[in-house]
Amino acid sequence: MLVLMLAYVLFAATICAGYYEVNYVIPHSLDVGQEVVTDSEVTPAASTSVSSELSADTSAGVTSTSSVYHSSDVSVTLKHVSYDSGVFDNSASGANAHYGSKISYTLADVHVKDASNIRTAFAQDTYGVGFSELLSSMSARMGSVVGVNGDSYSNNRHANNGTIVRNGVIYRARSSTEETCVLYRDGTMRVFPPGSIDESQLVADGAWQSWVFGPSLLDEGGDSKTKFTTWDYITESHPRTAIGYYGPGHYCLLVVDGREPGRSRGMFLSEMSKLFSDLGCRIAYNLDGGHCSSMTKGTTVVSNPYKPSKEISDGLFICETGGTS
Amino acid sequence: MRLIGLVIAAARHATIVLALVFLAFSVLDWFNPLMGFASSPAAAPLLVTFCLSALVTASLRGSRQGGRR
Repeated sequence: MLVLMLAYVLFAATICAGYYEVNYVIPHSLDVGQEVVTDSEVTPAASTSVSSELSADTSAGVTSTSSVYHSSDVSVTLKHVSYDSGVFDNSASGANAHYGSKISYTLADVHVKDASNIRTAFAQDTYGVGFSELLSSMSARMGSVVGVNGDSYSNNRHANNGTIVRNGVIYRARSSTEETCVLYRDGTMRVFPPGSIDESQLVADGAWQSWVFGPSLLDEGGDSKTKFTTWDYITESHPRTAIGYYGPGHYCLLVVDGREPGRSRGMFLSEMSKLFSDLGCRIAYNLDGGHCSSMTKGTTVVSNPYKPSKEISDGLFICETGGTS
Repeated sequence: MRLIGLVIAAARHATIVLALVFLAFSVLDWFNPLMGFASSPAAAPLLVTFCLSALVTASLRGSRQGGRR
């Protein structure tokens, strides 16, 4: 009888492993949806709203240091912050408490002339499952100024795994149980509640990028939240990647280091929400975190990921106009 | 009759194995709902097979017992 039970467990484990390999690991491309068609170019309002950051002396060409990049189209300023929150992560039955109470993060303040300066890329330039690539490698291919990991779209195999728009192309159009963040060609950003996206309206409104991970971190008034549309594990302290929106042309990218005992435990969602509220963002959206979280400036990793060799499935990049996709 | 016996035996084993598979999927989905092991469209063939094997096990086995009475 024991042998029979062991045989059952072995067969079940084999089926599970095979299912996982075929559907999540073995690289295979996925069918692509339709292209977003819009006649709208970036409106003059979006261009002028970028104002002082990019209207400054353009005769100097490009200025680039380890923490600053400034050109006529893109301005990025990096800030590294470390502090002791005094709060330990006692979730997971106290298993995370040993990471300590310190938090360290990298914040990129981004001004762009055009929404097309914000580009996304798939690992190995392929929309599919099982493809992965180092963020630094993707940054080199994109020629980006700054890059962060994306929403790990290919891990989301839920039946309602949402709408994916990348560089103006709809790759997937499904309902979603998560909030969806959409960046439009006019530089505006919007977060849709679960199940509320209309694909035809996305086309009509000129969707440029979308991400499905979430949750959104601010309420409609731009204030921090304490309840989030996600499951409990995501609300715990983790390494984080998130995008913030101030207005057309002005954004920020946040990468929080974590799972590093004595250096940085990560952030609770509530802490990240408060940070974006304090920064003055109108919208903030959580992307995939954990072992994926990292930021590059050029091809150099400027955050401190606890798994520096982690390959990811997609990334978000700030590029000069005309960057490759 | 021998064939039916083989079918019932295979269905019984398949029901137990696939029940264990979906229990594992449920646990994995509890940890990470986004990966959608049980809810992914790719799991549909496994679910159909599970349901059919359960039906065969219950109905044919019950039918055979009823015939013997």
